[in-house]
Parts: sequence; structure tokens; C-alpha cells
Amino acid sequence: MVDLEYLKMSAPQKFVYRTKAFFKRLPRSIASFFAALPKKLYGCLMAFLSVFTNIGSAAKNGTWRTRISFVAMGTGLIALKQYLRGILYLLFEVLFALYMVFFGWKYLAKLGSLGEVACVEEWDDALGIFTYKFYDNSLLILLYSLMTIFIIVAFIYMWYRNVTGCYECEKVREAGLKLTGTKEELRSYTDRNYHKTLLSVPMLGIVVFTVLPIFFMIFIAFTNYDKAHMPPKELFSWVGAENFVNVLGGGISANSKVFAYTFREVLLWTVVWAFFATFTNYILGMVVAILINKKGVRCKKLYRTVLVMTIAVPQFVSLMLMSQLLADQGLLNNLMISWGWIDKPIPFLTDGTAAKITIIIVNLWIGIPFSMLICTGILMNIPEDLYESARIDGAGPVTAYMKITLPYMLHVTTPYLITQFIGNLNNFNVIFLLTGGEPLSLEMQYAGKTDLLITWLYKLTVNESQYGLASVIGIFTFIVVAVFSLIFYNRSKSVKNEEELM
Amino acid sequence: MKKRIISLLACGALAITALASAAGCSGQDDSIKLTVWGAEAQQATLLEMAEKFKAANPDKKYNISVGVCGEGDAYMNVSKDPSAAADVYGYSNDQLINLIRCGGVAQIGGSYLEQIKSDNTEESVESGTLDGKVYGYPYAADNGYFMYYDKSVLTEEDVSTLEGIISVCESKNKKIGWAIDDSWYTAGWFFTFGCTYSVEYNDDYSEKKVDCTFNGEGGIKASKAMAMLTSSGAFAGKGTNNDTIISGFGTGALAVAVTGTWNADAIKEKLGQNYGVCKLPTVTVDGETKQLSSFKGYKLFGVNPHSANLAEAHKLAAFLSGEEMQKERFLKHGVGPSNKVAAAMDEVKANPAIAAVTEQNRYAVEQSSVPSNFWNPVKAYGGYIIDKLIDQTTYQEYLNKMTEQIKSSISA
Repeated sequence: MVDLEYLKMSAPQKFVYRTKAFFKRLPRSIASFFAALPKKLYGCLMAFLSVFTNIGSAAKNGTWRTRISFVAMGTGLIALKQYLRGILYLLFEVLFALYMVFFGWKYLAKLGSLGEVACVEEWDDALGIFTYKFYDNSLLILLYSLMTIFIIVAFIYMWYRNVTGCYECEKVREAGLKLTGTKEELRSYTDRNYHKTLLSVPMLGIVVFTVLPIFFMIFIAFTNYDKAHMPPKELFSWVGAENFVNVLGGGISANSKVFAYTFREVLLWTVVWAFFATFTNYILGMVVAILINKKGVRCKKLYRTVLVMTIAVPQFVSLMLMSQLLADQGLLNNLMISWGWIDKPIPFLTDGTAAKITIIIVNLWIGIPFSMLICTGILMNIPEDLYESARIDGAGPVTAYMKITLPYMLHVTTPYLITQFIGNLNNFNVIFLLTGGEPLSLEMQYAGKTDLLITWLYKLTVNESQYGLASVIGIFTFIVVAVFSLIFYNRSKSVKNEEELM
Repeated sequence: MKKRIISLLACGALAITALASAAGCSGQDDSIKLTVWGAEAQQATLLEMAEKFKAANPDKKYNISVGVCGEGDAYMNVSKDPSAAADVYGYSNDQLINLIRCGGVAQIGGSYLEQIKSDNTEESVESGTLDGKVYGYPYAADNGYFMYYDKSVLTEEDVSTLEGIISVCESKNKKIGWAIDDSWYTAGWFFTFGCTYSVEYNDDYSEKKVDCTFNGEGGIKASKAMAMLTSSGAFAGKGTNNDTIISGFGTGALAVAVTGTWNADAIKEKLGQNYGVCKLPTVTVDGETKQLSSFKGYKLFGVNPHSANLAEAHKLAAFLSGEEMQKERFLKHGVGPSNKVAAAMDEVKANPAIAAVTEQNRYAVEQSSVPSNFWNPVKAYGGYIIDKLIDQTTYQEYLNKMTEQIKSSISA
């Protein structure tokens, strides 16, 4: 098909064509991905092997200084008068050895079993009470083992850097060149290596506070850490993929089926909610912005201020108010009953379907001012001459909106939409404060009809202490969020054709 | 060279003084640190009681701090990190099994055990007992519910039957506040018609086997009884809680509400002379008249086995749950005592709310060893009844679903 034919098509036809093309392309793109895989894997393998060839050549060609570095880190560098690096490497090795002997090893040795004796209760006749001694804590064993593994990996990397670094220095000296001195080296961290200085603290923070907990959570998903296996009183142990099997409905118990059903229902509602919450807010926010922006509308600033005022009220206050207002025995129902409009309270928040609709509508209250603010700025940026020429060509307001405003807006705000969508997938506040996931269902476990994955996760951990299962849900939530954001991001116009505007 | 020696000496001297001062610091503060958690409304009383404890033990120096943690939230707060939780805390006995599982509560033995056994009612001590081991110092015997009513609307005769209450309220356009969508209240209807549950535990207190007869004939009858109330125009609807009850009595919309002693003062204030309390009414289903049952529970002080001063913590818990402190707690907060002497006080006997809860407790079911997955399914079922999602033809199907969930414990 040529471009001209495509351009002739109407909007729905274009959509069908694009969707068809996407699925037609799909097998080929998957195939090409797998075709490229061996090459990529080979590249990875080579990069990995080069580490060993580097070490090998250092061992073979290096002098005694390099060879001594294999055992005592940094000594070779010290012999080469590279004092700063040498001493730091040596210090690192000593600290690492101390850490492993006095701390790390104790925990790492128990990683396989996650402990043998948790707690011993003994009668103390002198005091007249039962005394308790706590020994192995599975949670700490897992956490500190993981930390130790991270530190071991860091140590191996440092050791490798130390050996190759020493060998490099030797080569430089053999070539008759001068080695950089300590002062110069230090100075480079404010100059050539400035990025390292700046990034070291954030990187360390990310490893300690993000990467380590993520790994920790992933490991928890393979244990039976729950109410009946709570450290420090009881130990928990490895159960393999049992939790995953239970969540996906492959477990033997009838309960696993219920749990799998709950997962499907909650996942479905999470996606539906995120879709509606994002696009209703976006579109209505834009409509409000356009209305206010329209020529001839008076007191533009006043309207904008009034809408922005709702942002000034903390979100959880407005949500709590709404949930009180809309409750079965809340203000609104009581008023309507006393006026004689209704006999029975309207179940705004207590009927499954009604609650879902109420949540989406209440969310408008919170979301519209934000999207209105963003849209207002962009609307004012659209060049007026575009509209003028459209008018001259005989375009009505709808056509002008579809052909000029919407494409322009979408182009600029796609990243905003993506973040909104992802944020709504994990929108804890609105659900938790409005309905708390209720009404409950007899078909679902630990979850109500309006629970999102994230609020279900909260209930599983805080109320039910089902940490193993919750970790599995957490992993799945991560996968859902990652998949959606990657798809949207890659297919969005602002990524695909960055240069061409519109 | 000389300079170096001097500087070395100076460093050494500094180090020694630093060590000495550190040692001095730890030596100075020899007071025994204890933390107590209790309900928010009783913080001031707890502080006073801590002062009395200090006065009663002048030979030791105590440093007692008080924190907020409702008896119903004890497990949630203690299980987060038992080693960081309070040394002594109040809990309601339905949480005992979970507190034991997470290692948050210490066993009591020796003279302390003898003392609480001789001072308190047998049932209250039993409520803190599992497998013959006692884990709590009982201090309140009123953790149950009964009925409050407006005497200007209903007579004493009206409130003796559910049918009477419904017909009077319907005719006078008043509401009945009954949290059928809160499993603590829902369960009572099932107990009325002979439904039971029982749990067998493994050695580590994980559930070995859960039995539950909520889907038997009694379950059907309970459903019919609940539907009779919820389908009436007098039923206040979902979401009955402390706030709606108190404000409902205040505006005069409510004529009847089912709740516990903790609301007694507030309701009395709203109703004034028309303040009435009594046990739950009887209900007639399929020609069979039954007294409505309920849950009954106790509140106890638990001692944290992680406490650095375990012996002192036991001493404090024993003091806080003693006869004098129970009397004081009753006089200040209307808490029904579990202590035999305190419960026999004239003031306690004259308190209508305590009298009502004591009367209702005769028909109540002890709230201990509840299946771990009990609350959510029962709550959901209550919601289904209110929303009329199920009727006589589908009760059995959904009772089976509920029972299935109660019986299952995914971890076991």
C-alpha cells in the first residue's frame, strides 16, 4: 500500500489498518528478536570471557607486583607508589575479610535452611517467669545473606579492578611513561572523573534502598513466610514455586482456585480502573481547559483559580469527606431520605458496580484540575494561525479540534498520560480511602470488588501477614506496570517521530 | 621523637577519658525502662497507674512510658517487629493465637499465674489460655455487645423480641442500627441457631484442621433471621459504626442500636432519661423462638518476651490488671472488671450497661481460637444478605462458599 492510499482512508479504517499491520508484523518482529538473540548472547559471553583473559594475561605477563596483588589487594600498586589506590584496595580487603569472618559468614552458612532453632522458652525458677531466648531469625538470615552476596560481588569486582589496574600501571611504566600521582588522581575526581564523584552517593542509595529490597522481596516469594511462620518465634523455609502455583490456580487446594480467581478479577478491575481514571480525567480536563480558554469567556483567571483551589485541599481530606458523604448512612443518603426522595439509601460505595462507577467519578474531582492546568498551558502554545488557515479552508470547530488540537495535545502530553496511567494502576489513595476495597465478595479471597492489586497487596501484608503470597502479587504487579509502560512508551508519537511535530 | 611520644600520650589520655565518660554515662542511668501500650482514651489513666506502680515499688527506679495502641490493633502493631514493641500491652483475646504465632506474648507461670487464677473469673483466665498455657493478665470482661434503645420509642416488652422491635420501629419511622456487615456482629446470628466452628492446631500453631457448620440448617435459619431484619424499612443500612450510632441517637433517627460498653457514656449523654439497655432480643424463625447469641471476649495485658526487663514487665502487667486498677478503670471508663472482687462492687452491679453485657454473655460464644480466615467471608455474607444478592433459594449455595473459605487456610 502506498502512502496516498493510506492517507485517503477514514480514521476507523486507518485504525483497523494499523492494528492489522501490527499483528502482521508481530511474528516477524518476534522472529527477528530470536534471530538476533544468539549473536547478542555470544557478545555477552565474549565480554564475560574477556574478564578471564585479562586476568590470565595479567598473571602470565605481569611482574611480581601484579602477582602479589592476586593475594594481597593493592600491594602491587603500593609498590608502584600508587599509594592512594593501593591503600584503599588493601583496606577494602581487610574490611571485607573482617566482615565475612565476624558477620557475613554466619548468615550465609544458614541461607540454605534459613535457620534451625528459632526460639527457646524456659522456666526461670529464680525470677518466677518464663524466659525466652531467640536464636535464628529467618528474616534476618535472608536479609543479611543477600547483603553479604552483594558485598561478595562488589569484592570480586574490586579484586578484578585491582589486578588489572596493577597490570595496566606496570605496562604504562614499561612503556617508559610516568604514572599519575596521588594528587593528580584526586584532582581528576573534580575534573575528568567528576561524574563518578557526583553519582557515587545516588548509586549507593539505589543499591541499598531499591535494588537490595527488590531482591529481598523476590526471594520472599519463594518462602512460606506467613502468619504461621513468623520470625522470630518460628522459622520460615524455602517452598520453591508453590506461591506462584497458588496464585495462578495450579494448586491442589480448592483455595488456590479462589485465589487465582481473585487475582484475575483484581487484575481486570485494576486495568479497567487505570484506563477510565486516566482518560476521563484527561479528556474532561482538556474540555474544561478549552472552555475556559475560549475567546469571549470572562473571568478566565477566576475559573482557573477556583479549580486550582481543589488542589490545595489535601487529597486524602477530600477523599475521606467523600467517603463519609456517600456512605449508606452518610450525609447525602440521610438528606435524600429525610426529603422523601428515596426510601432506601443508594449504595454509592457498597454495591460492587455502583462503587466502581462512584470511584471513577469521585476521581474526576481530584484529577480534572491537574489535567486542566497542564492542558491550559499547551493550548495557549498552539499557534493561532493554524486555526485561522483551518477556518479559511472551511473547517468547523470539531474538525479543527480533531485535526489540530488533539494531535498537538497528544504529541506533547503522551508522557504525562503514561505516567498517569502507571500512577493509576498503583493508585492506593483513592481506593483505600473511598471504599477500602469493599464490598467484599464470597468468590474472592482477602479482597473486595473494588480492590486494586496494590490495595490487595496491602491487605495481604498488613492484615493477613501472607508475605510469601504478597511478594508474588508484588512481582506480578511489577510485570503489569512494566509491560504497560513499555508498550505505551514505545508506541507513543513523542518517541517514534521526535523530529516531526504533528 | 619526643614530640611524637607526647602526642601519643595525649591521644591515650583522651581515649581513656572518653571510655571512662562512656562508662560513667551508662552507670548513671540505672532506671528500669518499660513501655506500656493501651487504648487512646485511657492514656492519662495509664500514666497515673504507672505513677502508682512506681510508688508501690519505691526500692527500684522505673522509667515508664505510655503509647497508643488499641486492644484490637495489638497484633498488627506487635507483629511488625516484636523486639521493638512495648514491654506490656493490652490485647483483646481474639488476637491471642496470632500473638503467640509471632512470638509477641510471653507465657505466665508460678506465683503470677496463681494470683490471676485466684483473683479473676475462670472464663477470663481461660480466654488467655491456649493448650493449657496462660498468656495474659485479664483486666476487662466486657468485650461483647448488647442492645441500646430509646425508651421513648420502645417499651421493655417491645425490645424482648426482634419482631416487636421491627414492627414498632417501622410504625414510628425509626431506624435500627445493627452492623450485619461486620462479622463480629454477623457471627452471633449463626451461633443462635447452633452453628459452630473449631480449629485443630499443629505444634507451631498453624491450622491443622478447621471445622465449621455454618452451612448447615442453622445457617439457613440465621440467614432468614438476618433477612427479616435487613429487608425491613427500619433497618439503618450498611456501615453502622460507633459514629453513626452516636449521631443517630443524637438526631433521633435511631431507636435501637447494637454495640458494646465503650459507647455507653456517649449514648447515655444523647438519650438522657430515655437511655435503655438490655440483652439482645429473641427471634422466631420457622416457628422456633431463639435467644440471639453474640460474641464475648476479654481484654488482657500481654507481656512481650523480647522485653529487656522481662521480670519487671510481668510485675507491671500484674499490677495493671490487679483489683485496685480494675476498680479504677471501671470508675473512670466504665470498663467491666474481670476481677471477682471488683466485679462484685455495688457500682458495677448498678451499671446498666455492664448488667446488660453480663446478661447477654450467658448466651454468648467465647471468642477464641477463631479460624484465621473467618472474618472476611462472614462479613461478605452479611453484605450479600443486606444487598439482597441472595435469597431463600440461594442461601445454601453461598453458605457453602463461605464455609469453604473459612475452612481453607492457604498456608496450611
